[in-house]
Amino acid sequence: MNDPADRHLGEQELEGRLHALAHGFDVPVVPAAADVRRGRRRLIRVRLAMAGATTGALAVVLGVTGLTAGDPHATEVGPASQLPSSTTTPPSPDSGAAKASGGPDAGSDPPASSGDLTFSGAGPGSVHDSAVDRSTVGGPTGDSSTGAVAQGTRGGTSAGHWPHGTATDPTDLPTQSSSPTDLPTDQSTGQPTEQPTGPTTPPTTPTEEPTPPVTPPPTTGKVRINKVLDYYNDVVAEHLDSMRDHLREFDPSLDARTIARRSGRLFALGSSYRWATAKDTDDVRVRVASGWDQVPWGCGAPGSDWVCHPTADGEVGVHDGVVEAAVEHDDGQVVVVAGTLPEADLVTAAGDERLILPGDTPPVSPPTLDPETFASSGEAALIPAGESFARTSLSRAPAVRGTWAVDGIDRGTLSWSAAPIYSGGGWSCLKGYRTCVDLQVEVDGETVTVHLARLRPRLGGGWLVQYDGPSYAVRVASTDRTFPKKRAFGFVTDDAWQPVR
Amino acid sequence: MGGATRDDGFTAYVSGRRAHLFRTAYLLCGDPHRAEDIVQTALAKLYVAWPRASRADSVDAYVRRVIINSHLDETRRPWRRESPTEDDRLDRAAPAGVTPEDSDALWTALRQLGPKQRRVVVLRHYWGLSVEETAADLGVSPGTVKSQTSAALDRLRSTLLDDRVDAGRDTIRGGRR
Repeated sequence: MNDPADRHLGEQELEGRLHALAHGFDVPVVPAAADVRRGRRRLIRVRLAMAGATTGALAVVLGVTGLTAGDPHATEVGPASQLPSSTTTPPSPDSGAAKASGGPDAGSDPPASSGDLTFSGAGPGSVHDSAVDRSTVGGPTGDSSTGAVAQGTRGGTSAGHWPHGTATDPTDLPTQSSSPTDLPTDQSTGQPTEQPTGPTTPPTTPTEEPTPPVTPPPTTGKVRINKVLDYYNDVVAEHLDSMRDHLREFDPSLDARTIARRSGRLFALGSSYRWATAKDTDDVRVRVASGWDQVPWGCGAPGSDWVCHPTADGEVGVHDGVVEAAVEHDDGQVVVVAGTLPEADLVTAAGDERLILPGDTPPVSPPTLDPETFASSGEAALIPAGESFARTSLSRAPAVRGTWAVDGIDRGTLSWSAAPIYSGGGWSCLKGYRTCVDLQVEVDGETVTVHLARLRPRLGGGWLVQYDGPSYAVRVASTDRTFPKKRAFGFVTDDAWQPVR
Repeated sequence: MGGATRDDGFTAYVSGRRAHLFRTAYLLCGDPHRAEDIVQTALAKLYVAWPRASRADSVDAYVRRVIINSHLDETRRPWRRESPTEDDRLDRAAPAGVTPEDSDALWTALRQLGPKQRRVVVLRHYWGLSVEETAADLGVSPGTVKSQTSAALDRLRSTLLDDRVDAGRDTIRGGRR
């Protein structure tokens, strides 16, 4: 590459391939009128902002001028002691709705008992409702055994979430609150507007450990993304930063969200959360996905520079100084928590069962296929004796690619892969296919439909065979069109590639 | 400049150049949705500045800088370090016009570049700008552009060469590269 001619040719080739790549992009068709409309709106906003700024500046100038010139009404203002003071206003119960964001009182409150932090009857939909809402759905019942929604592990940082008016009438408190440490101490000025309901079941003893809460996001009705992401933040905080020294509350205006939807269904949801240190603000990323196919996971990917190793609960990958922990839950959903934090904490957080996709019927991914089994089975089915296959890549998709050779002569690229059906892996006749036909083939006495496409030269030529099963779309592609398709039929329709969860 | 004049000129420009701008943004950020966001932002800014931009030598240069700066803003956000591939996987869009092997290799190589090197590559080898023009667009010195171009090309060549060696036998036979 040191030869100038070689370099020149290389750059020309790069330019050609860049243009070819760019021209292959699917450019969205957006009418110019839409851009004009957006431009007009921005123009209006800019002009309004300028007008507002001008008006504000003018007001300030006039105000300062008036003050410095002497306002005849200034002497009529009463003494300061007669002025209303907001500091003496009794805090409304709404003040408890403020998130425990590390404010001056958040960490100094005594840890609330499990009873104080338990509310019942709210159901999953009550995730991060306001304090007022919480007070109406049961209040401090002191009953961790109801188990519907429990937040007992929040400790003192959550004290501000709950109605403090109960402190003004100790007789209304649950009996287990007789312990001085359980009594709120900062509510002397508050007048409760609503009395909390008393405990309906015998309270638990204060010495009992709070039951680990499993609070699913809303399972009915409209999914409120920000509330769910806020909830994820709280769950992760319990594992990574229970004192909230570093992990900031979710703020939709500051923390980026990632949402993967298809046909109105949520396939992945996540966000970054700010992790503040003395020197810098980093981020902790959380992604809850329906399956591995919805997670950008570098472990096992061709060309990946991730350093990976399995753990008892999942897998950990390290790249660019960031540790990513992924845990597959029992329902197939995969949770990834990433950051520059201890690996064990990240794995524990990712394994929390409360991190699930919200919605009535979240998509369910099929069980993952073992890549090595998929590869070796493919070689056994597609490459008979006398022929050879040199594998060039194997990814965890799973996808296998290599070179097919007969009598030592390369015959082209042979590849096979499987993609989950549930997330759109089904058959589609693309523009790059020259022809598409559906074949009825008989495999083991059964007639099944297999899709066959002949590829244009720009896609490598050859053919592609795909079978859409209940779980996976399995395909075999060969750039050499003489490769016997019958070998592929048996492989793609193999029931082994259609596991059901 | 009247509203109608502004709209006419702007519409004519957008009709002719929107696809090219989208491709540029796509190459820069690697995600179609973010690319569309960047282009929309750039064109909205262009509309506001149209009287001034249309009097300039090149409207393209103005929009190009807006796109570059928008991409820069995006990459400065920590969360943007994640490569958003979920929609690609959902849509399963297959770029036409390039062989899968080519697009995979080049795409992979491009995405392995840092944002600065990727910007330089896109401006110099997709837009065909000179070193000086690229430096003006990026607000850096020509020397920086040269060094970043060299480093980026070396890395691209290395990646593409590895890929070519990896799949060498079939590509030589097929003669597609």
